[in-house]
Amino acid sequence: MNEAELSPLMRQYWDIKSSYQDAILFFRVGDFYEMFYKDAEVASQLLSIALTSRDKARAEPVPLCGVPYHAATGYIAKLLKAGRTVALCDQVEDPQLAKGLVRREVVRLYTPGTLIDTELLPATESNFLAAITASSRSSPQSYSSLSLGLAALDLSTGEFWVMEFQGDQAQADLQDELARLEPQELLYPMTLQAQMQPVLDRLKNLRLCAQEPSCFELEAAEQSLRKQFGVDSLDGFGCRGLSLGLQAAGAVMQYLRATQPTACLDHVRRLRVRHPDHEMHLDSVTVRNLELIRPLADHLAPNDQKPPTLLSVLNRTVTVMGSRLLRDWIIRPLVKPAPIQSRLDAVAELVEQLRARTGIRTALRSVQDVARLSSRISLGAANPRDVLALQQSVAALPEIRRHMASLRCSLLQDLARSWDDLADIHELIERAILPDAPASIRDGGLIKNGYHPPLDELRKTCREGKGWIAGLEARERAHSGIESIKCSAITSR
Amino acid sequence: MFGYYIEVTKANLARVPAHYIRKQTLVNAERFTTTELKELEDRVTGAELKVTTREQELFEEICTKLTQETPRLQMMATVIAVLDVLTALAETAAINQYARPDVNEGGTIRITEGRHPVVERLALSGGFIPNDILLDLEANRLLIITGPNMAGKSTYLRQVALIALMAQMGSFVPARSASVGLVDRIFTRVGASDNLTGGQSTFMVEMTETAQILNSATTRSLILLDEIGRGTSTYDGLSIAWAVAEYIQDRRHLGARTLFATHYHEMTQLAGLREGVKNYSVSVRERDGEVLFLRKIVEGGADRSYGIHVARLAGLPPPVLTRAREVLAQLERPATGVLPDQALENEPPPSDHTLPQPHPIIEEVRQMDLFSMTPLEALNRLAELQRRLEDEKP
Repeated sequence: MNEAELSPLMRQYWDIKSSYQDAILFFRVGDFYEMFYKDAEVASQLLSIALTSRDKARAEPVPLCGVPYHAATGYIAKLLKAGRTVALCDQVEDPQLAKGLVRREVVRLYTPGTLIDTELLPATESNFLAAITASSRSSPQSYSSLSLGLAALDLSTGEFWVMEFQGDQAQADLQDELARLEPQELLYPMTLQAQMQPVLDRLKNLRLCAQEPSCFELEAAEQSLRKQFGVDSLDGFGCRGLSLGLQAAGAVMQYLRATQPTACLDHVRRLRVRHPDHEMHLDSVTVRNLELIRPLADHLAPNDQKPPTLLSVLNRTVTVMGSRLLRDWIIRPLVKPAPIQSRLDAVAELVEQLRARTGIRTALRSVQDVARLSSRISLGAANPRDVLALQQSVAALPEIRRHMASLRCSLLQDLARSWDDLADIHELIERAILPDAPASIRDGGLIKNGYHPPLDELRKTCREGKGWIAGLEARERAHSGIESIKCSAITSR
Repeated sequence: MFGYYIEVTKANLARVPAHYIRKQTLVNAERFTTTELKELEDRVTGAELKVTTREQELFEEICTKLTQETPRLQMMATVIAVLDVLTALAETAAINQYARPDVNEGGTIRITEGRHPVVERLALSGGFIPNDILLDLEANRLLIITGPNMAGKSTYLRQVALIALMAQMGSFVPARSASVGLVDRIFTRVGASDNLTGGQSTFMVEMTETAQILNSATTRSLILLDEIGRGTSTYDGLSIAWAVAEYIQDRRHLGARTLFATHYHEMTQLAGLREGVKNYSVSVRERDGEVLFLRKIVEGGADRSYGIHVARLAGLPPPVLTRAREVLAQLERPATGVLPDQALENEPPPSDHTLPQPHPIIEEVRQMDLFSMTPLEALNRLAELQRRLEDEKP
C-alpha cells in the first residue's frame, strides 16, 4: 500500500503492528480496541463479531472490527483458546492533554504461558512458561547422552525453578518432567530444533516457541537474573555450575520482558533449584495409567461427571493454593525418609486433633488465592476487589494461628514459626478501601473517608456545589417568575 | 452536552431573563445556563474529576505499599498452601479410614488389607475386597499374578503402586497397615489391548514403553506390568513377556520389585526356575458348577482350566467347550505341539439340551465387573451381548 495515503492513525498502527506480526493487535481507539486488516478478518471469525471497514469511500477500504475496551478480557480469552496471541496496545497519554496524535504502546502481549488474569486461568492449576536447552558440546549423533536444562516460571504466582538432566536417560527424563509439568508454552533454541524434535513431538496442548539462540546465552542470562533478583551472585540460590538451567531461565526472563514490556516483575524474586534425585520419578505413561490427575477415559465423560482420580479422591483442600500444591505433591512424591516422616507426623497429629483440624479448615475457607492476588498487585493489574479479597484472606490469619497453637510436630511448628498475621496489611486496606468498592477504578468510589484528608476536602466541595444548585431552582423561579423552571444536570458521559 | 442547566418550557420562553445563555433546544423546552451557574459547574465538575483522579492515585499508592510486602505475602501463601494440604490429607485419612504407613529405607513393601483408593470409593459399602502383598528385594522380588481377565488383577497392581506413592507423598494409605521400603521410581505398563492409542501400532507403543522401563529402572524401582506382550501373537507375546521378566528378575540387570500380571499360564513356570519369583493368582471358587471370582489374591498359580469355565459362562456351545478341554489336555502333555486330529463335527451331539438352564447371557451380565470397566468397554460389551441375542433368533 502507499504509505503516503495512510492517515496518521494508520501510520501509527503500522509502526506498532510491524513489531507484532504474529499476534493479533488490539489497537485502542477511544472506548474500543480495534483490529485492522488480516487481524480483523481472523478475529471477527473467531469472536463472531461484525467485520466492517474503515475509509469505505476509498478504493481499498480497511477491514475493521472492534470490541469495547472494558470487555476485552473475554475476547482475549477466546483468541488464546483458539491458539492466537494478543498484543494489547493502549493509549499511553491522556487524549485531552495530547498534542496531535495520542501516543500508543503495546503494554502487554497475551500468550498462554504468561497469563496472570483470574478470568483466564483455571484456579486450581498452575500455569507454567518453560524453556529448555541442551549442551552445545553434544553433536546430533550423540544426543542420547545430552545434558539438558529446564526452567519453568508460573508468572501468576512467581514460582520459578530450574532443573538439569544428565546421562543417557536425560532426554527421557526431560520428557517425563514436561509431561508432569504441563507447561502452557515452551521456549527452545531454534538451532536445536532437529535435536529436540523427539521431545517436542510428544508434547500436546501447548504453544511451542522457537527462539533465537542468543536468547539462551549464559552471560546475558546470568546478568539478567542477577538484575531481576537484585543480587551480585546467583550462587546463593544454589545455581553454581547449573549453566544449562540458567540459560533456560535467562530465556524465560527475556521472553517475559518482551511480553510484559511495562510490568514490574518484582514478584519474581528467586530461583529454586530442583534436583531430579530428590523426587520420585514418575514417567508420563505411569501418571496416565495410575490416573493420578486425569482419568483414562477423560474424553468420554461429560465435564461435570469425570471419573474420579487419585487427585479427586484426596482433594479435600479448601483453598485453591492448597489444591495446586496437592497436585504437585501427588506427581512429585519424595524419596528421602526424613521429609516424608515429617509430613506423616503432621498428618497424624491433625488426624488426632479433630478440633484443631476443623478449626483450621473452617478458617481457611475464607482465604482466597493470596499467591495470585499478590502477583497481580505487584504487576499493577489488581483492581479494588482483588485488594478486598486479600484483606478478607488476611483477616482469617490470626484465627488459624490460634488453632495451630496446640500442635506440636516439627513441620507444623515450622509453619507456625514462619507465621505472619500481616496485621499491618489488613489495617491498611481496612482503613483505605470501601468494602463495597467497584471492580474498576475508573469511576472512583473506592477510597474511604478519613483515609486521606485532602480527598475528603474535595468531596466536600462537590457536595456543597450540588447543594447550592439544588437551591438554585427556587431562586430562579422567584427571580424570573416562571413557575415551571427546572434546574438539573446532565451527568452521564 | 454536559453540565448544569436551567430548563424553561416553550410557553414561558418570552419571560426568560436577559442574562440567560441558550445552551440546548429540546422539542418542548429550551435549556439555559448563566455565568454564575457556569462558574459553579466548573468548580463542581472540576472537583469531581479531581476526586476520581485522586482516588485512582491513592489506590495505586496502596498497591505500591502492598507490593513492598510481596515477600511476606508470598511466604504466607506458601505456609497456607502447606497447611491446607496437610489438614486435607488428615481429613481424607479420617473419613476414608486410612492408616499411617511406615516408610523406611529397607526394601520391603508389606501391605495388609490394602485397597485401591479410587476404586473403593466407587464400590458399594463393603463391596471392595482388600488384599495383602509382600514384595522385597530377596525371595519376593517378582510376583507373577495369573488368573482370568476381569478378575481384579489390574486393580490389585495399581493399588500397590498407589499405596507406595501416597506413602511417599506423606499421606496416610488405604490399608490396615502398610510398610513401604522407599521406591525411587514407579513404572506401570499396560498391554496393548487396554490402551486406546491411535495411529502408531499398539504393539510398537507397548514395546517402546517397556524398553523405557528396562533402560531407566533401578533396583529400588517398583515395576507393574499388566499383560505385557498381549499386543502380538501368542508365542511372540509369551516369549517377550518371559524374557522381560527374566531380565527384571536378574540382579545383575535390575532385580527390581515387580508385579507381573499375565494370562500366559506358562509364566508360572518361571518361579521354579529362577530365585526371587513367586506365583500368585486370583482366587476362584466353584459353586454348583459355577465360577466365582473372589478378587482375593492368593499364593500359587491359577488353575488354567478356569479359562474354559469362563468360556462356558460366556455361552460358548457345549461342543466347543468339550473340544477345548481335549485340546488343553493335549497341549499340557509335554513335548507336543501337534493338535489332536479328531475333528469337531465327529463329536456326538450333546444330550443335555432339554434341561432348563439360565440363559448364558444373563449369567454373564451378573458376572460383569462394572467397577473395573470404562464406559466405552461397558458399551462395547452391551453391544456385543445384543448382537449375540440377535444371532440366537431362529
